Amino acid sequence: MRRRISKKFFLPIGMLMLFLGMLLPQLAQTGSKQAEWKTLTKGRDVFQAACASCHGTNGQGKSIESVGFKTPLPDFTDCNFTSREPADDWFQIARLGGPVRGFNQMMPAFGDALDEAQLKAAIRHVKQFCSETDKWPDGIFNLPRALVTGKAFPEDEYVFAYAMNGGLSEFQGKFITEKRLGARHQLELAVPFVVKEVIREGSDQTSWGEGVGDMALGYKLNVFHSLKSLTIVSLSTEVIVPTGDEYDDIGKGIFRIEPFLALGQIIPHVGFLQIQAGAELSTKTDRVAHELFWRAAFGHSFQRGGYGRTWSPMVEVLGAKELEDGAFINWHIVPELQVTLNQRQHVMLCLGAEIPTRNLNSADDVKYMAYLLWDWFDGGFTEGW
Amino acid sequence: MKKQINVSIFATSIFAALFLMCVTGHAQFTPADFFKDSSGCQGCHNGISDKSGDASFGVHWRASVMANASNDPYWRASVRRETIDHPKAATAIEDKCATCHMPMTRFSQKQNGQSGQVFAHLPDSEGRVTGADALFAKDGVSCSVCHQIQDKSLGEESSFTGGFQIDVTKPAGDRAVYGPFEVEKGVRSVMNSASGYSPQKSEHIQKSELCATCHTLYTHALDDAGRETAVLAEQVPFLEWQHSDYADAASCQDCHMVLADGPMAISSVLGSPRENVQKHVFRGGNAFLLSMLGAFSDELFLNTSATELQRTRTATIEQLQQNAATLELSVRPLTEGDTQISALVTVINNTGHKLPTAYPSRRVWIQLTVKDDHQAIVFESGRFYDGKIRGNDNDRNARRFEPHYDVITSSEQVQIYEAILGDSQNRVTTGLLQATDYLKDNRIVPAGFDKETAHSDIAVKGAARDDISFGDGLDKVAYEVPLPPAQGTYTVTANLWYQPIGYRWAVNLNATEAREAADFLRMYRRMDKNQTVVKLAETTVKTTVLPSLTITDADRAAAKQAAALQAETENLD
Repeated sequence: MRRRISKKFFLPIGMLMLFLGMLLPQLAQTGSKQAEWKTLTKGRDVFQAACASCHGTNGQGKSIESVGFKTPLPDFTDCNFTSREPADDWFQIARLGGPVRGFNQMMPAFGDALDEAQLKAAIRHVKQFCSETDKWPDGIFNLPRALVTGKAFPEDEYVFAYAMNGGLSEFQGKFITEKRLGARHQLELAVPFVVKEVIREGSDQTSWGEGVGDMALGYKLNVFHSLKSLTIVSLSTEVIVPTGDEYDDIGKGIFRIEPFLALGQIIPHVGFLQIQAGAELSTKTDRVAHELFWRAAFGHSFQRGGYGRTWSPMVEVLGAKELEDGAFINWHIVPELQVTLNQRQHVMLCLGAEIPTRNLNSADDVKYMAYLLWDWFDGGFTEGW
Repeated sequence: MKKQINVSIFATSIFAALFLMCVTGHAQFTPADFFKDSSGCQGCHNGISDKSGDASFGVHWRASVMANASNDPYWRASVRRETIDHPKAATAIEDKCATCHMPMTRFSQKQNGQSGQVFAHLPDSEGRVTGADALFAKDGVSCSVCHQIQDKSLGEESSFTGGFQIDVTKPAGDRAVYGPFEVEKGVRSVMNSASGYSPQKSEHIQKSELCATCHTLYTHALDDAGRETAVLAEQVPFLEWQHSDYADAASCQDCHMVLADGPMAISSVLGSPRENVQKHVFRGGNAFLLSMLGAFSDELFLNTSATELQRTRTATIEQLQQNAATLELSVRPLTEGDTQISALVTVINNTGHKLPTAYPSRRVWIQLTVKDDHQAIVFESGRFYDGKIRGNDNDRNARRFEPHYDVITSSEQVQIYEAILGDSQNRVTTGLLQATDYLKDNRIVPAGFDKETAHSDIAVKGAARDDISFGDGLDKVAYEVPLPPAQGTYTVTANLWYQPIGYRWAVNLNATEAREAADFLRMYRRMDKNQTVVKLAETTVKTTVLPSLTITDADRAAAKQAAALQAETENLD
């Protein structure tokens, strides 16, 4: 027998449903508002929600009056800025905040609010503010500078390089300044200072010679870069000026021209390879022979947690041969380690040793090398520590 | 032997110096140990808007009087005056004034066991601020002051006169800031990374008791020897509010921080729309100071612009004109030949505190004007001119003041609602630390304010106390003023004026020989005096004179005839 359901039963049920019906949209609305930005997937939308309040919808950065703080905001449409650093550096800053790279605390850490995909989408959006990505090689190609092998990436940096032989009979310091011009060009000036033991004419005693060595003026042109193949290629020419004292063997006494090709290749999950090949062409072959050289540096960079100090062990293989009958090929191996010194990672130290593969009779034949590098485009020397 | 002694002395000296460096060196706090200057907050809390337009907290705040608490040239001059008048108490005066005008710097100085300083932290003549103390001092009542005040002892006497409590146990980076909303965990992390603070929901941030920490100020009268002789409730709007109907109805924030027009995000970084957001315009009562700051924003090296200050001034004036007071006027009908006009003006205080309130330089007064058919003024009381009120004894003579009136009968009388300070000899003064009591306080009390039960700190003083038409949110003033024999139509207009810095409160600084006083007076004199006042309300009544009732002989004859006819009719009956 079917039981009759009392009308009294419907009343409370109906009221409850009515109540829930009124409440649920309210709850749903509150929830959706709270989570609105969590569901964003497009880079532009994430950028708009998280970044545009300071960096501006157009990426050019809002005015001081608008944001209320005096730290200048970068212009992302300026390719010279946007292309400099690899996307992963941008990602780490967005994830962990400005201080992770020695920048201002005003750049917040979004890592707990936005997921990795959202952050990477936003970074891609930032990178596209540069409308000439085909012209400007990406910062990912700014591979660690090797002690000898030249880089393909055009840079703005000061380098103080130092070398001495194991016999402590020769010391060389070299100040190098590199200035990038536009998307693909770079000028370079290198000024060496040499202190070495010499035996001067008319004397059988050794004495110390010192002075400015042969200075070099260089020009670099980036001719190819591809994020697809992860390759960068540049052509370069240096003119070596005979400013050094020829008689103390501090200079060679003639002009030389050094054209070369530099290639950088990123090998995902393995490391990087840099190759430099060229010739040192003498203007007076009766005094200094032409020379061919080829160099390669292989290395890998490590970072703690993807954001800490960067350690880049490398090994270089250097080959050179004078274009003279009977000349040998001189081979050297250079194990080395580059490390970033500061949080900004724009001041670096590299230490290594150039070891000949032939005629290695004692430690005196090893050349010990080092450089201190300051990438001044990223800030002053004392900034970002 | 001598050499050994020298070595010992040298070593001991080095050790002592190192010890002292260790002991004293690490204990020195800077404001940055407890606070963040406003630029650290504005990045995320600017760029937000409601339906009516930009509602950026930082943009609004920086053009407020609170943001410019230490940039205020009147305040600087007044502090200087007090320190010169009471040189023995100069340190204590600077300390007290810095508590709420340079709260961040003073707080850290206090933590170091020092007294707050004012003048050491003002910008130099080039606008340079040197060091963190001066930078934070310039930032006035900044975001991280109010939002860090803890829910401890609020509303209690210990919290007054800048007795707010801020956590000193947690290090920078691990401190809480309080707000009215719950903040999502991820966004909390974003905020913490950029500011060092974690947002925490707490309702006390919306309570009047929070504002009361600085807006309840007691001063201590000092004699010539620098001894305290009396305590004066210098400004106590919170206590006035507590004694009114508004205590259960609206908080300070409800009126002075206008509600956003519709849902609004409170952050431009990952912000979600929220209901009932209170904007940070801070519509107070000092529209004149905003004018002055705007006019001299370059000279004062402000972190805001004249345009932004003008916007705040406009909002302040709107608030004053729309919400401060209502004026009612009734005029008794005139008949031809009358030689007196009788009007009744009712001033209704619509605020939750006295009108005016707070710093005693403020005054409100009634201007009543009677004009005839030809628009000629036949009577006027309370005319404003050149910063002064015509008929006001105090503007004419610094030692006198205008009493409270129930009935005004002459144009030399004017109803001014004000606080008049008196010293220990009952002489009128504008020196805060000379003042022992109020000689007159007829500022119109808010609705629900029972003047009989009011505590002495908020009591009505002077003739208003016995005026039965004064109290419970209003005052009624009768005007019985002489006229030439009345004819035609008269226009009676009542205006209610408000002046944040009364004439005496400005010009008495003439006696202070100091740069700050000279600077203020130079600015004051260059200002258009019409900008020193705001017309709160206006009402007009036109009254046409009625013909007088005169009985002619013909009227008498007709009346006699009518009476005879009526008697004859009664006889017939």
